[in-house]
Amino acid sequence: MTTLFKTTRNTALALASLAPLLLASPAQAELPGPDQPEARGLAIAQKSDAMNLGYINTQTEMEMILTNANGDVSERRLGFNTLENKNPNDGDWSMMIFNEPADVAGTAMLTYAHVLDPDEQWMFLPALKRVKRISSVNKSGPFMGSEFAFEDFSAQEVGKFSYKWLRDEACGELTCHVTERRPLYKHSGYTRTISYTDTTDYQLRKVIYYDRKNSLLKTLTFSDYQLYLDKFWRAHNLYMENHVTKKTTTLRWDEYEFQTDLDKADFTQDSLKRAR
Amino acid sequence: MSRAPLFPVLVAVLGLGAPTAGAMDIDFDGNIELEARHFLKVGRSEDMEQDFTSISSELELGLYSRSGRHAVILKPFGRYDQHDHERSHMDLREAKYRYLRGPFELTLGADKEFWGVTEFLHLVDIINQTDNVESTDGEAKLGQPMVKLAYSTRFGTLTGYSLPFFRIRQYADPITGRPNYGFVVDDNTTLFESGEGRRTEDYALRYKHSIGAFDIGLSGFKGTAREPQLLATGEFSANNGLPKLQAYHAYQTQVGLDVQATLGSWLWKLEASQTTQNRFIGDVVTLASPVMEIDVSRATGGFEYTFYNLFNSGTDVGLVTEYMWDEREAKAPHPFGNDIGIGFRWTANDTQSTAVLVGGFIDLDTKSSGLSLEAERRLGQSYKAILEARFQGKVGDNDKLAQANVDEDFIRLRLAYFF
Repeated sequence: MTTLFKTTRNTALALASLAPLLLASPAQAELPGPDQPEARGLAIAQKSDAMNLGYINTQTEMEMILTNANGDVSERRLGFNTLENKNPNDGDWSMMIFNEPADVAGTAMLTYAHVLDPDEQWMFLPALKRVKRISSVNKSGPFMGSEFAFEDFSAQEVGKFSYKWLRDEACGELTCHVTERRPLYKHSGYTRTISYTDTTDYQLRKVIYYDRKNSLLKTLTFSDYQLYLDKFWRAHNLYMENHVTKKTTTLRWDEYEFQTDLDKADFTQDSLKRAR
Repeated sequence: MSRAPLFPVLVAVLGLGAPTAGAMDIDFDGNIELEARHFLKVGRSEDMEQDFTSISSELELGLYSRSGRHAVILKPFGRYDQHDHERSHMDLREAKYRYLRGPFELTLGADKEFWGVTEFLHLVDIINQTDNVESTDGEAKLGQPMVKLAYSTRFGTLTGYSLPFFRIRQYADPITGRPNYGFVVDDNTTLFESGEGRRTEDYALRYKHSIGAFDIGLSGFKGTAREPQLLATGEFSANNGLPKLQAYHAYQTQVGLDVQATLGSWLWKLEASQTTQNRFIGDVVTLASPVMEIDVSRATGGFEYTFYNLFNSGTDVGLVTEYMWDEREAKAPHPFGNDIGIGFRWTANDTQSTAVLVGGFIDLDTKSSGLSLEAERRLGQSYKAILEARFQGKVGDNDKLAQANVDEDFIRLRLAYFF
C-alpha cells in the first residue's frame, strides 16, 4: 500500500498469494479484472507497496500547520526517520522527534510496527529523562492535537486492511483506481476509507475517511510529489480536512534523504534518549 | 553546583575543536519560568512565609559532531527564590561528553539517569540525588557526576556506572522555608558512613531488555544512600525553637527489579527492591544510638489503564492505581509503608496540549490520605502555564508524618517561556 509516510513493507505475504508472474515483476503485472473487485483492490495496494521496496531508510523533517474553524493557526515541527524491515512479513521501524513547540522539544517516539500484532512503542520524556513503554492501542486519537489520527501516522501495511476496488476515474490530469479499504486491526476509528491511487505511478492522491458510524469524517489530499533515486515517490504536501469540526492540518515535508547511514542501532530505546 | 569533573569536558571540547571545526551542529534552547507558591496556612514560626515568588531557568547547549559520535551537552539550571535561601540554588543537570561507537556508549560528566516503570513511587531509581528543594514530588533530580559505559546487544543493554562524587540532599531554608515538617536540617552538618565523604566510590549496574509485551530491568547499586537517615542532635534552632536534625548518609547496597507488561490498553507495572544498610535504631535516634545492619524489602506495583479517544472526543482518560509496600509498614521512615495511590489523568489532545492529573494517597495502616492536582496548558506557541496543588487530607492517629504535613498544604503556579 502506498502510505502516508511509506514506513512499511509487507509485500511477500501478499505477493505469495498472487500469480508467479506477479512475483517476478509486480510493478508491470496486470491487475485482476473488475469482475474480481477484492483481488483487484488488493493487487493495487500490493503494486503501490512494491514501488517502495528497497528504500532502506529515510530521514526528513516536517512542519505541521493546524488551523481551526476560526482560522487560528498553530505549528509543530518534527523529525522523522524510518528504517525498512528486512523481514518482509514484519513492519518497519520509525522514530519521530518533536522539535516544536519548544516546550515539547526533545520528546521522541520509537515504533516497531507489526502487521496484525500490536505495534511496540516507546516514548522519551526529556524532562524526566524517562523512556516509557506506551500502549499502541491509541489508534483513533488525534496526533499532537492535529486532524491526523495516530493510525494515519503508523504503518499502513498491506496486510492491515481488506480491499475492494470500486471504479477507475479521472483525478486531475491522471486516472485513479478508487479502492475501498477496511481496517483489519483493532481499535481503528474508521469503518472504511476510500483511496485514490493513480494508474501511472501507483501513488495515493486522495483518501476519504469514514468514522465508526460510517459517516464522512475527513479528506486527505496529497500533492507536490517528488521522485527520489529515480524510483521512490514522496508527497511533500498533505492536506487533511475534517468535515465535522472544519479544522484542517497541513503537513509540509522537507527534502527526504534516502539510504543514509541510519541502521538498527539508531532505532533503539538508547538512541531514543539521544534523538534530537 | 555540581562537582562535575571539568577535565573530560575540556578534553572533549579540545578534541572536537581542532579537527572538526565547522563540522559540528550546535543546539541551544531553554526556558525561563516565573513561579508563585502559596501555603494555605501560616507557618510554624513567624519567619516562615506563606507566599514565595521565584524565577528559574534551565538552558541547554549541545555540540554534536556531524558523524554523530561525539557530543558535549551542558544543561545548567538555576533558581532564585524570594525568601528561601536554600531553594535559591544552581545545578549542572547535565555537563557531559558522550562518545558512541558501535554498540558502546560512553558518558563522562554529570548526567541524569532514570530507572523504573511506576508512577507514584520510584523504588529502583537511585543514580541521582533528589533535588529536594525544587519540588515535593521527588521528580526533580540533581546532576550526578559519572563515568557510564553502556553496551547494547539484541539481548538487551548492559550499563555500568562509576559515581565518583556524592550530591547531598538539600532541605528548605531552616528559617523561612516551606514546607516545614517540624524540624530543621542544616546540611553543613551532613555526615557519611563512608570515610570518603562526598568523594565516593559508588558503583551501579543495570540490565534492560524488552521482550514482546515485557520491558524488564535488573539493577544493582553499591554506594552511599541517596536518602539520609535524619538524626536528633539535641539542639534546637535559635530562630524558631524547632529541633535541629542531622542528615546521615549510610553506605548501602541495593538490588532492584522493574517490569512492565504492556497488554492492550493495560500497563501492568512492578518495582521491587532489597536494600541493606546500617541504620541507627531506637525511638529517638542520635549518633549515639546503636547501629544495626538492616535488610529492607520494598515493592510497588499496579496498573495504568487508558480510555483512548473517549466518546470520539479526542480526549484520553487514564486511571493509575498502584500499591506501595515496605516490610516495615507503619514503622517505615517514609510515608509509603502500606499505601495505595490512585490517579486520574485527563489529556485533552487539543492544540494547547491541556492535561490534568488528579492523584490521591491512602495509608492503609493509619487511614491518612493526601490529594494532589497538576494541570498544564500551552499558551500561544511558546508559553506554558502549570498549576500544582497538594493537600494533606485525613490525618490518622499516630501518623507522625501526616501530622507534620497537615499545615503545609500549598498551591504552586508556574508560567514558563520556552525558546
